[in-house]
Amino acid sequence: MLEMLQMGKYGAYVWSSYGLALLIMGYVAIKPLMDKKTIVKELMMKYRREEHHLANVQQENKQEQS
Amino acid sequence: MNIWKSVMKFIYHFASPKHFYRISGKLIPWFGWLAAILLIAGSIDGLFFAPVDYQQGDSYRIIFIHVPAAWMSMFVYMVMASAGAIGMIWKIKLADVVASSSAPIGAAFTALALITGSIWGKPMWGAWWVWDARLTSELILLFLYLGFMALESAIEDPRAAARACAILAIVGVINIPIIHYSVEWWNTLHQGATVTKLDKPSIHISMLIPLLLMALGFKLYYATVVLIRARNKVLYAEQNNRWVKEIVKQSG
Amino acid sequence: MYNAFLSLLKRDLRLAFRHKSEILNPLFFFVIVVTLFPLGISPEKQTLAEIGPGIIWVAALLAAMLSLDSLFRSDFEDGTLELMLLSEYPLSVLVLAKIIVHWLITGFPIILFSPLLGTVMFLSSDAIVTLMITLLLGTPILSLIGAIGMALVVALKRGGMLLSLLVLPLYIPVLIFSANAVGSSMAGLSISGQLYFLAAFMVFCLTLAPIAASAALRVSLE
Repeated sequence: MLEMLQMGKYGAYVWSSYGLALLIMGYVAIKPLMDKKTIVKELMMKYRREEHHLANVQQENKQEQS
Repeated sequence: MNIWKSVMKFIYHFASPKHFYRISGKLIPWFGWLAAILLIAGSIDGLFFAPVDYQQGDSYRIIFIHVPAAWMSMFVYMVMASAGAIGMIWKIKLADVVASSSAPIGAAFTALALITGSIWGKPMWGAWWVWDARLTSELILLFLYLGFMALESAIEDPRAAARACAILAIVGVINIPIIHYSVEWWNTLHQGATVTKLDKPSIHISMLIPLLLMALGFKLYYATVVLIRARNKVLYAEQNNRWVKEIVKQSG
Repeated sequence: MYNAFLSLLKRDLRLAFRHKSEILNPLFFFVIVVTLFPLGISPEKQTLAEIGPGIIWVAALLAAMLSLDSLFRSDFEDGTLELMLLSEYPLSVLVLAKIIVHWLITGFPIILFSPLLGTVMFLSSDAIVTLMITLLLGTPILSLIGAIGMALVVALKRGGMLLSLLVLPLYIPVLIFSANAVGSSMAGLSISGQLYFLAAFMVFCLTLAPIAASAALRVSLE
């Protein structure tokens, strides 16, 4: 088993290649998934702010009328 | 003529942001899991079951990463140029989004092909870097990707950026064969006989299977990631539409 | 159309001759860059003759690239470009006129000066002739491809660095074939293949680059 992992004298080269591939491709795949969370969070805050603002304006209008 | 019109209508409908968001959401898990299965199966097959190459020993197992990555680096650039052209001619926003979402993925594939090529070169050539034709072309391709991304980030208006980048990608894709040819020519002049090239180690069927598994896995991986990135961009660009508000509220 | 082409050509040439620095600066740059290499590497004849063709060509590449700013910048700033866009003539023809002027004021002087630099780098007289031919075929390509890049970045405030990222990779085939042709003629080898490639590439760029550059200008000016 160990012999198989050592790949003759090339173990370090082969495993570092596969490891780097995993690292790079993993990062490229996970980054946009995390980006999505921040986008959703940002938009949520924005919508809340807008709703809040809208509610405030409506209240002010009412007060002015009365 | 009528058929053409209805085809275009269908395409515009399909490419509408809302529709795209819904369908891509359903496709991503399928693509993603299939890509993961193929990549894992291909790696295991390539690392443990493919026979040892009689010339290069076990070091040739790097090609199961290097060659698919190099193929994808070209393929993604072609996708970028085609999507850019489609976006420019038919004014389909989604095509622009696909083009700009592809660039970082393509650059990552190119970098991966360069790095693995260099790691493979150390035991084979005795040096981390040799000005071999494939590595050199790959390096120039990386420059093209970096130029694309730099131009995109330099132009503030996303629509102008998309159209400028589309022109750049089309010019690049026309130039790639010329660059490739001139680098090959330059290489044969200067290097004579190097050690066997990385692309064709007397390919045997038992080596071909993991290579094809990996190649397919890389394609599906690209499809998955490009859809995820494109969805993010669509969500952000359409933030003032009601359907986006509903999606955001549901997921939050 | 032909008249519009000619009058734009004349106007731009006249403007260029009024600002002599536009013609002289790229040329000085070219000469200075080439001079740096013997100082940085070695003044030995053998070394310089070997690296000379590549160095002269790299310097020509950089000089052409750095001078691209004069192609559209001033016309962009004073609104002339806007007018060209709205004129009844095809934009690509007008762009071609500007590219030709750019080549005449930057590429052409470099060709005239190249024998001097070839001598300084110890190139043989055959190689110097080849150097001039490759520059004659190659510098128009630099102006043509450069015009596309410049058209893409003309509206940006800091386009200079970006321009080099966009344009230099596309210059590589010209560099490979030209420098190699000069080196080969030093070694007494046949160079017709390289010259054919350069000629074909120039015609190719001549037909397509003005179209791409005018498309890019339209995007930049929106």
